[in-house]
Amino acid sequence: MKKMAKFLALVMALVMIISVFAGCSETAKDKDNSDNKGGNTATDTEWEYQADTSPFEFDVWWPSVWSWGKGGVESGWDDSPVFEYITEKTGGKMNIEIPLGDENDLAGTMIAAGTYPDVCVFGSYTSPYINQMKDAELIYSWSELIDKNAPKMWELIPDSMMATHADADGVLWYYPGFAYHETWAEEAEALGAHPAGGAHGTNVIFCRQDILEAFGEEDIKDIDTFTDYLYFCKENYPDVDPLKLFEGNPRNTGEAIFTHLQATFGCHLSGTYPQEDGSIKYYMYDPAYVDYLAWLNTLYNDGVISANQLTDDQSAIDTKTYSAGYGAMNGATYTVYNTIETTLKESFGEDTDKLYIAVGPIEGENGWKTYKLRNSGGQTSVITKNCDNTDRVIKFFEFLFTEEGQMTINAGVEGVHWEWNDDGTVKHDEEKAALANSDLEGFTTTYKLCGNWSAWCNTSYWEGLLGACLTPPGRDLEESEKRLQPYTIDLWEIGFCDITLCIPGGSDLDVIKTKVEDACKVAAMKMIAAANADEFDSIYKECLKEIEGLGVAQVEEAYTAEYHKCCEAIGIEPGAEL
Amino acid sequence: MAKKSKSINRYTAFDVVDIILLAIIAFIAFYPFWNVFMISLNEPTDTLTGGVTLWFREFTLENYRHIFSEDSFLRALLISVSRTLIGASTSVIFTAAFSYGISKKWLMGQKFFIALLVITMYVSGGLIPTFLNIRNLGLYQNYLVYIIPSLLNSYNVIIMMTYFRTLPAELEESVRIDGGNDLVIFFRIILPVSMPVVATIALFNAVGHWNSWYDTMLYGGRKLMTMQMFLVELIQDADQVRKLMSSGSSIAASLAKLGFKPNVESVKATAMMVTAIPIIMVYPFLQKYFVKGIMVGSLKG
Repeated sequence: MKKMAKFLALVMALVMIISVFAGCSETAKDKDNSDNKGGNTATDTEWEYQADTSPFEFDVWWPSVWSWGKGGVESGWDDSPVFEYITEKTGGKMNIEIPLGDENDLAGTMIAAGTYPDVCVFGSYTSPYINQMKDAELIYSWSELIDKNAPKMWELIPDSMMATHADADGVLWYYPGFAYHETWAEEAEALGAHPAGGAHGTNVIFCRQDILEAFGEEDIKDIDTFTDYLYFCKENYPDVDPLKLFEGNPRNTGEAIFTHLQATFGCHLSGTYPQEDGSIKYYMYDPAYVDYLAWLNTLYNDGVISANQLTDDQSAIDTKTYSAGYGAMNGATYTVYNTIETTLKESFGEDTDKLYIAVGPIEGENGWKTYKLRNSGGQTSVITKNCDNTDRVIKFFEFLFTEEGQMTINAGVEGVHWEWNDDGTVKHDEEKAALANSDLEGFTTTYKLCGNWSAWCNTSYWEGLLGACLTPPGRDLEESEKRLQPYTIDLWEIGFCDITLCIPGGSDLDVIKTKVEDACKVAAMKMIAAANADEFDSIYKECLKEIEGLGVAQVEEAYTAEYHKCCEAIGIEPGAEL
Repeated sequence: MAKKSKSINRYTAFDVVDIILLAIIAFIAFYPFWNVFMISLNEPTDTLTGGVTLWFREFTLENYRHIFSEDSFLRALLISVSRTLIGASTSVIFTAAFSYGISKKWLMGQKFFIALLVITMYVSGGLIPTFLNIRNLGLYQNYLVYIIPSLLNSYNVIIMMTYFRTLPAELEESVRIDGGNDLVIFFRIILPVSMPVVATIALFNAVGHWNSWYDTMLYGGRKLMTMQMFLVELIQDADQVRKLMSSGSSIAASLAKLGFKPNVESVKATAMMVTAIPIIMVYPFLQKYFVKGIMVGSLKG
């Protein structure tokens, strides 16, 4: 009996070991392109998708669908003029799965298990999973598929996208929606958008109206007056925090927003410290940034910034913002003049003087600058090697990228949802426009537009069509043009084309960069809270020593290389135009 | 007798201090829950201004209406309730049956099955093999993925097995004398006298099913979304909008003009209440099984 038990236990153990190895050894299918119909099959058709419109389906995995677009995607492909039109044109039908949870929680499991569908859409082109899939040969390059199946599609992909997103060999492995191209603003305005391409409405300083009046000024345009205003606020309004400085850390964790006051002190808008010899150093070495921290340290030691402010979480910041708890803050015009103002009027009455009004910009010794908003790209799609009909899929996207396709996914079906005006702008269906202005989620769910297609949208059509559909902005646009437009420069034109994003996500260098950034954030907070100048200097020197030990030089090398590449692309000398 | 009744009715100083101290501790434990409840009943815009503590300032049911009006809420609620009820009951039956079997030392292979059970307590397949196993069994995006994998839990088996071993053998013998078989013994004798442990295991499983969201995320998919995952998404969506409004996107301007109020705190508070209240309401019904004696009147003579 004992022998039998031992034998059974041994057999069971062997079975478990074998099944573990069997389960772990399953890899993704390694499909070749032999089943792809290569070459140009078009005869009298202009585009490749027109050559074959027989029905086919493909699956898309898309966890990062914008919340107001989920309804449209979840309701399925059927029962929509837009979907029917696209299927009629291409034969294609997308089965989009919006998995529950965050992309970072799900993508790793999906990739390791090999269960990814035909197309995967990630939240950003910097997603480390794209590189993982590419390195593991789990995806086709868009270049390869376009060359083989729809070479004319290259006409629809701007050179600027290739310059930014193609790898060193000139191969495009993914497609980012909303990628910048030079003429997007003009194209959007031609479709009927409001003035586009200028300074975005963010990064404006606002002061509380009643406090500004008591201070005796109508506007504040320099750092000394602004500093006096903060002290005035501290002395006369003890229940108010004089300055809403940053959310979480002095570097501001916003997507592409550079804190207003860093520019006042002369920090470079690229978020780095460029040198005249064309090299790039990390921003922590920038004396302007140190001066900025020193100014904050003075405010801290004088009680203008409280210790609590350095540890406020988002909830506390929101509470103070929406209860007029700040004397001055940095914000976006369309947020402050709409959501915040509406909330303050509801709380304090329609006639309240606790509203915020725009001032500035706050200029320093060298003036002030902001940068033109450019978007390198948003949600990004890859075509995986589990895709059986890559030729049809790439041609499906070919249609989406044409003018007809872009008009369809952003405005709807011509003659049903919109028509052309004589001047080339678009006249939208009134019911559609009304819904877009009142219920954006209902709009996307009803018409299956915009949110359903954000991964494949061209910026000019998006801004031109959705922007034109909405009620024209008023005060917020005026303030943007007054407070920001005259100070706006184009970073890309001087070679700083998102150089801090040049390091591939998930790479070893990315790990170093993250560690360096964390060390700098911690040091910055400590420097602000330093008791005196000696402690301030000591913390700063320790920080520099730490980041040098972590390998900041490697990060600087990568930034420098990217900067030189950008300069070469636009034909300027590195370091010439800082 | 008169002296005894006097001492029972009189509170000593120690009793008074004791009661006050426990009341304070109870308040400290209960206050966060109460505060969240008050926030959920407070107008969202007013909540943004802060300061809602012991009582709401502007009563509203808008927060609950916002959650309950979501189309997918009812489906998520149905799935959560059904998996809790079905999952807890099936899990109890399977666990009890298995535990009862291996509680018998004379069962062939008893030690082998116990060893198998203990091994799984220390070693698991890991995330990827488990995921592949679920898919290969056809449970991926199948409702049964909420039921079958959780039918048997090693820890619960050990708890029940230990309990069954404490039951006197005379109980079974008395049934066998009357002509009953093993099934009769198990369902009519063993389970009824084991109500405390059955209730405990049922409650553990019910709470586990109710709170579970990770299996929904990995295996369930949108069509089988449970209430926990629905509420996680609701909070994430509110936060997504708030972050977008901090960016330079023109679509953020659109959202701002629609008067969207990014009050994540109200959403979170309401979400907590919606998930916590139902399961809290279950506890009182099972309380009696925890304190009731098991052997009173079960064996005569």
